[in-house]
This record gives sequence, C-alpha cells and structure tokens, in this order.
Amino acid sequence: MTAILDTAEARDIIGRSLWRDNPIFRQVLGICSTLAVTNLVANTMVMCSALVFATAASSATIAALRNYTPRKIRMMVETMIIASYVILVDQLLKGYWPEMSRNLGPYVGLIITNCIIMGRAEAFANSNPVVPSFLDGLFSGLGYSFVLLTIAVIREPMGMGTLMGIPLPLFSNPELWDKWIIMVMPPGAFFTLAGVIWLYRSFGLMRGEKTA
Amino acid sequence: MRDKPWYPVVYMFVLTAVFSGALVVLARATETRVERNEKLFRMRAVVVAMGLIPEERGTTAPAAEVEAEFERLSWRPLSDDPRYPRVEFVLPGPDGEPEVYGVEISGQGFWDKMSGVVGIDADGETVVGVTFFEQYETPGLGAEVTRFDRFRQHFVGRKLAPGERPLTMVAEGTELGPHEVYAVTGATQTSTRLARFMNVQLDQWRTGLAVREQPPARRPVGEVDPFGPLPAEAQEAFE
Repeated sequence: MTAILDTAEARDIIGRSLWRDNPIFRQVLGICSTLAVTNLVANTMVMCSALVFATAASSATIAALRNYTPRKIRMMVETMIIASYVILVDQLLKGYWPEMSRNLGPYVGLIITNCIIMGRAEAFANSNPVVPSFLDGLFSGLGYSFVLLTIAVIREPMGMGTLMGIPLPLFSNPELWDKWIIMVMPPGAFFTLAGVIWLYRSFGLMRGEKTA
Repeated sequence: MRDKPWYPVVYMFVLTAVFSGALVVLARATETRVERNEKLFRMRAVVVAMGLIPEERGTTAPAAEVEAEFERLSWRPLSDDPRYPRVEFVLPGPDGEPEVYGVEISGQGFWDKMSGVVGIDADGETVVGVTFFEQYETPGLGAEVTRFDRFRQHFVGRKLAPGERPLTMVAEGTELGPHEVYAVTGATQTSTRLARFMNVQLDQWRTGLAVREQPPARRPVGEVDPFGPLPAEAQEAFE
C-alpha cells in the first residue's frame, strides 16, 4: 500500500475520518439511523458492520470508475453502486443470518439513503484514487460506528436494563433503577446524541481545536 | 468519447446491467436458503407456541427437530383472506382427539401486518404459549412483542375469558388477573391493535364462526403445505 499511498497520508485520512472530521461529530451526517437503531447494542453492531462495508466498497468502486463516469450522471451512478452493495448485504443477511435480518427489519435497506455514504462519495471518492478512497470510506464508517455504539451503550442499559441482551445488575433491578422508557424511544437518541456531541466539542475546545 | 451525447446513456445502461446482473445471480444463489429460512421460522413459531419445543430452546433447536415436531401436526385453514391467511394447527393425541391447538392470528399492527400463533390447551381456554413470525413494528418498542421475557411470557397459563374479549392487555406493574396480559410499555398502539385483532380472531376460533358451517377438513401437514395457497376444496368451504 505504501507504493500507492504514503504512511503520513494514510494516517491523516484515518485520523480525520475517525475523529477530527467524524461524520456525526463534525458534520452531523447520518443521524437518521442514529435515532433508529441505537436502542440495542447488538442491532447497532450489525447495522454498523453493514454500513462500514457499504461505505468502503462504494467509495472504492466510485473511485475506480471516476475517470469514466460522466459528471452530470455521477449521482445516479453513485446511488446505484451504493444500492447494489446494500442489497448484497441485505440478501446475505436474509440467507445466512435470518434472525438478525428480522431484527433490523427495514433499516438495512435504509443504509442506501444514509448521507455518510453519498457524502464520502461526493467529497472524496470522486476525486481520489481507489486505495485512499477505500480507507476514507472504511474509517468514516468506523468513526460513525464508534458514535453509534457509544450512544447504544448508553441507551440500552438505561432504557432496557440490559447490555447486548444480558441483564445488568444495577439497571435490571427495579428497586435500584426505574427503566427510562424514553431512552429506547427516538427522543432518547436525540438527547444522548446531543450529550455526546457536546462532550466531543468540549474535549476539542480543551485541546485548543477551532470550533466548526 | 466521453463528450459524445450517447456516452452517458450507454455508460449508465452498461453499469446497470453489470450491477443488476450480479445481484440477480446472488438472489438466485440464496433463493432456496431464504425460502427455507422463512418456512423454518414459521414452523418454529408454531411448535414453540404449542409447547412442543420448550421456549428456552426455541431459537436453538436444530432444524431437523423442528421439522419432526411440525410433521406430527394436522392443520386446516381458518381464513381465506389473502392478506391475512390463518391456519389452525392441531396435535392429535393417540385417540385422535386434539391435545393442543395452535391458532394463527394475523392483523394490522402499528406499522404493518403482524402475524403469530397462540398455543391453546385441549380444554380450549388455557394459553400454553404465543409466538410471532411476522411483524414490522419499531425495533426496541413494538417489536418487543417477539421477546419472551418482556411480553410473551405473560400469556402462558392465562385463560380465555368468555365473551368478546378473551384476553385483556393491562399496563405493566399491575397485578394480572386470569384473563389479563401485560401490554408493551412504550408501544401502546402496537399493544392496542394486537389486542383488537387477536381477541376477534380467538373469539371466532372458539365459537367456530371462522370456519363457517362446513369447516375444511384437517389434514396432515406433510400432505399439503399449510403455508402455501389454499387447496381448492378448502377455498370452496369459505365461499
């Protein structure tokens, strides 16, 4: 990979995608699924894996075709490529992991409309070679997954009393913790997301980063 | 060449053909497996609701065991509604009399169709279990109806009340009466709609209204697929 992409560039892409320009923290992209799937950690993990795959594969494919794709139809092409990868994941889940496919219901299909994938395609893959685009997609997806999992790890115990479906001693004991039903409902995701972004930005300010 | 007016059209056409072709190949390759998964999931729902496979082994029991238990059943259609087809399963005892019933219920949930099976003892009133094999409710909220610990366990041992409301849903935390089950907290609409169609259909099953005057004969599950289209003579019975 070093012949195609030097280490400093790779490190810059990874750091930027995972943290500095994290799609949710910095760009507040893709929050629809943040609201939808983060009430259970297990569902979030599978949804994130599907999204990481779709973002990385789409970015690499779009980058590979960038010199042949006419500019005026590029968004149609991008949508079709993204949709193809998402359908592939959906079909594989139905065939090989039907229980999870049922749990996630329509949300896997909705990855097609996730702003992060199209955002990375437009902002990066369209004008960069395959390997950097793949890395950008991969780590943008991972950065997004990190935030979603953080939110899920907060919401599931507080709302359901469990973590990965396993009851937690404090949160599943009705005498110690009265389950916050709102945490498993969409408003709970809004509150948690806002709190997490606030922490991220405060942390950035403490380190002397500029505000957006 | 990219400047030619026909280039975008041909490019899009070729790209679409390539990606669609790949997806068609994948769909064909997984078709049998997906269909089998769907059928097995429904069989599993039936045998678990009827108590033939214990709840704790409901999702882990091997496919062969599920199929073997399912093969013991007889069935007859309860409805010819194409959107909400329903079937009654019966486990015949040694004397041919039903030992346990599996009554399918199906109706409109909050977002879309919901379908499940209510297992009922030979006495025709004691619920032995309930499962859902189709639902599109909100994950973490209405979809909690599929969880045994949060919802389904409260049905076990309840008795169908006489009248139009065999089972009543009450708020979590209150003391349960013999005909009451807990609703899903945070999913009032799902609980209300489920209670509505479940009660109508259980009452119909109990009073025999659903099968009209000439109920279609029961037949072993191996003879005609209970999840397929209705056989012609069963269809006639509903007309």
